[in-house]
Amino acid sequence: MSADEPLLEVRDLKTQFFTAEGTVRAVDGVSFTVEEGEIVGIVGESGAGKSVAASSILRLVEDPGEIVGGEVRFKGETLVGFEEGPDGELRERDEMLSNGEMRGRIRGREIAIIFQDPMESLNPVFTVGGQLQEFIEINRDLGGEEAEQEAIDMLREVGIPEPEARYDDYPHQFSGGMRQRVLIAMALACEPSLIIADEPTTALDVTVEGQILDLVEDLQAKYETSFIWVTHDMGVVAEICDRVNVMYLGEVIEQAEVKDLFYDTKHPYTGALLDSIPRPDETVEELNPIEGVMPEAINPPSGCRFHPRCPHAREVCIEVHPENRVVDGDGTPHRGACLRHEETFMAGYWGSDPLGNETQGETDPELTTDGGGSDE
Amino acid sequence: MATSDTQSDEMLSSDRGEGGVEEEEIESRVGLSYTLLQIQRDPTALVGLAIITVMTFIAVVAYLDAVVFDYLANYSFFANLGVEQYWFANTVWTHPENDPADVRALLPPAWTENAFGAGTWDHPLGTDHRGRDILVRLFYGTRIAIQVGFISTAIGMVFGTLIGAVAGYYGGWIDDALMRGAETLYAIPFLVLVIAFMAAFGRDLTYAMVGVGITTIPVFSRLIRSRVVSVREEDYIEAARAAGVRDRNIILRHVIPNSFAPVLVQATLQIGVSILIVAGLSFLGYGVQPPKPSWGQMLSNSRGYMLPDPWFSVWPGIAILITVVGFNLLGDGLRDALDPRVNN
Amino acid sequence: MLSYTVRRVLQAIPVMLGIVTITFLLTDAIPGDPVSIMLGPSPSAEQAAAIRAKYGLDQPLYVRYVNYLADVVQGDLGRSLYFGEPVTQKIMERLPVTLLLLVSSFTFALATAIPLGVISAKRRNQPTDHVSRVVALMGVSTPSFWIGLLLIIAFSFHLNLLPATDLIMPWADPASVEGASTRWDVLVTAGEHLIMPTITLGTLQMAAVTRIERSAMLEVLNEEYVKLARAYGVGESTILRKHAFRNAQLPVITVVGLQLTQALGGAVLTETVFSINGMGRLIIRAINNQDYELVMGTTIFFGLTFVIGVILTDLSYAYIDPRVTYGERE
Repeated sequence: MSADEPLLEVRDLKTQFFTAEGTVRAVDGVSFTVEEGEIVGIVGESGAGKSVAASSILRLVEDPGEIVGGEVRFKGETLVGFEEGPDGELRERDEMLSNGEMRGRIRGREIAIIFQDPMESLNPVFTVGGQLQEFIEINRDLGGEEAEQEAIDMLREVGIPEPEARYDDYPHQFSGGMRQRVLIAMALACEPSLIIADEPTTALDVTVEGQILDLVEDLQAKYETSFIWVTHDMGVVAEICDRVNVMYLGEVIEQAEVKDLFYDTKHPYTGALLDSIPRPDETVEELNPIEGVMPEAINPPSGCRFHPRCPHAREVCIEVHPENRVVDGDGTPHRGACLRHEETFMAGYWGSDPLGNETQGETDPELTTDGGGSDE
Repeated sequence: MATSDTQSDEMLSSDRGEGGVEEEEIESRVGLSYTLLQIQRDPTALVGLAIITVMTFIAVVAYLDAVVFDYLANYSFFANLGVEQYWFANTVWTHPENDPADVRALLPPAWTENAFGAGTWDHPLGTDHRGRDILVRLFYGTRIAIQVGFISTAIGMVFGTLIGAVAGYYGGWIDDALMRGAETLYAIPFLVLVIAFMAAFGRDLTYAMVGVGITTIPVFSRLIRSRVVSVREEDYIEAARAAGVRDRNIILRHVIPNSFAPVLVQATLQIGVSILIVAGLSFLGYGVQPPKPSWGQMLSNSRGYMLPDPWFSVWPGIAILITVVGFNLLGDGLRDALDPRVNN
Repeated sequence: MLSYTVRRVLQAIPVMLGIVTITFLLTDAIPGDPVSIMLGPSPSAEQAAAIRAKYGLDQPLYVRYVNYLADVVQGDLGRSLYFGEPVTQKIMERLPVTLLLLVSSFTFALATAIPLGVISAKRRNQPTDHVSRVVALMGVSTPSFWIGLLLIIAFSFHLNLLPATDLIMPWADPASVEGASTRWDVLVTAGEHLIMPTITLGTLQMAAVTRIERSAMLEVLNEEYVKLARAYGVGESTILRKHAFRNAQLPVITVVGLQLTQALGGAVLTETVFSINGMGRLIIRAINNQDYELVMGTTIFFGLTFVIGVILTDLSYAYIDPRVTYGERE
């Protein structure tokens, strides 16, 4: 692994679900990177494909879903890799890890995962300690007693009082917040380089969510583990993430450092997401929900997939599909996928007729023709 | 509708999104029209439906033939019109009873031979120990099986639903008493209970149906009760109660309709079970009395002739098997349609 | 755990009482005079009166009911009118036969059904799954006694491999078993006699358990904790054996517990097909003879197996699922 290579690199990843009704393009050409010690957010509405993208990294997509293209590289290894075969069909590359290698070398050991629902993620018929110990034994090659000691230490680390006593308790004896702490302990105890947190605080109430976020920040600083943090909550993003990918209908439509994303929003969808939550830095008289519901990923809208809901949509948005490109190269690259950045996309946005979706124009992010947003 | 449902289900299963959505999705599926739509796409359920349709059709024809024509032929007016007993069997096959002067008993199927002679296409599946055509007797036996299956299940369903709904809705001692009662019925093996019942009240088919119906009550009352206990807490029931709707109307108009789909599944499967129980009863001599044919009774008759004419024992069992498979296939299909999570 | 079990046993008491009541009323409704069975068609008036007095038949229904209950509580099930022996003695005579049949058919059913169901779930929609589902579907749709008849035709009459009637107890005295001189001979003979009745009675259980095992495994394999185990690098076979299997047994246990009582009903048919003198045929005979002391005695015994089934179910539940003992689940 060369020095300048990121810890995790996802390129043009495609995951589809083959259903009776048609092919659902849940993840449709997603690219992003995770550097060491970084927390990268993936944010979007329910159904945007963010969780599928996360589980695709570990190749945990379940039937009828399938990873159909793209590349995932992690520490110099190819977790997912497709190439075009002689017959023009995409096929798996030789260096792609086998299922056995994924299981033995990557899952748990290098990349751990925390699921959304702590109530469902622990097996009700085994003790909490036993489950923790099992995963530690598998992923750190420790013997039973060492693993048990490690498990107890880790439970203490995540703030479970009297971990020795709680070790033999069953999951139903723990509260939701405590169970999520156990799952975090589980992830950290395996000492992975990357933890994928798939909406880990969504099922918790707000005070507990705050405690868990603080805990993760502390532990992340201590262990220097990288995180991919999947969420639909911009508030969580602001609190915990270093960089953010905004997903809409299987595509990353904006990618930036967290402060750039919040103060220099490049995509109307991101703007709409931000407007739909309370922001600590602004006084918003009333929250603006996003108009409409997300269309289905079987037949995504033509052109820009957001155009049916976008207040700035113009005729050209129906025809031209914007890939995300660097729209602001100052400092860390800021990528966006909106035709309004005319100098990048040159699709003739400003000459095109508006579609008349503008029902809530006054709170939209103030994008300008030169592609630079303006702060308040 | 189906398109959007299944698709969003995909997204939900892969991306367990913002809580609550999933529950609503599943709840909305427990509707009859959705179920029927799913059934149309399930080839095995359609096979089941086809078997049931054919068997029911045969049962209706046999019923008309055996009961209605039989009845009409006794009246000179109809007799003069040419209405005769066993019209159907006489027209399509040879007479179910042989010429008394030339009884050819225990003939094998047409394509084989045994110690009693070679099979003939006059009796495609052979004859029984009295020389009666097996195919014709199977045909008339269908009527008994289908009739018993539907009627006994209907009895169990109606009473079981009412008892379960009342128990679940009121709770407390009513619930305890009714459910202990149901458990008691469950604690005695179906077959033994029905036999004791028939010994007490009468050996014929009516009591078999009532007896099997009664033993089926606990199946439905447990099912309904568990549904009602959850439905009872729903807001719209609370609202109806607050608005002064009478308990009886709440149960009949809200609680039961909301539990209808799982009952339908259970009923379909239960018809198959009832057919099996009644076949067992007939095998033991409880049920339709000779000379009326039923499948279980035919198997019982065949026991004495298994060595010389094994085919006699084969056919009635196949008839039972096919019919019960039909109900099980349809029942499984209905259940899968109602519970998309275990998508068999 | 203990208090939980005690509670379930106490809850079974009204059920037992209900069983006694139902059978008492049903047997009383059976037409025919038990006295004429004991004394023949035309007994003298004095004899009849003496018998009635002896068995308390001259008392009103409710008195007989109360007396009977009192006897039952003391463990006295009365005396068979037909056989003239105590009911308990008659049951003890027949019970081992039926128990042997039940134990062997449940062993057969569970030993085939659990692996079949698990494999079926694991290889969902593959050929193995299709085969096992068809087998299970046939199993729940076939009348058990017909399977018995077909087995007799094939293995007794045509292949001459297995005996068509009767059961031999493995612990029987070699001298009393035809053609046997050693214990081993007895065991072999007993085994030969047991195979077909076991399959006949066990097929339904096997099929029912296969179906529930498969769907329970499928459901559990979809649980988040199974996905989590997979995400932590646990191998598929460990997931199947450890993480999913235990949870999936809860609905299976319920079905097996309920089947325990119903299998006694199946035993009636199996014993008839193979002419085995067990509990099943005993109760049918008792009903046909209006031997109502015996009818009630055997039915109470059925009630007992139900209670045992319930207790075993609950104990296994509590053993498997720690939530049960804490009262979160019933």
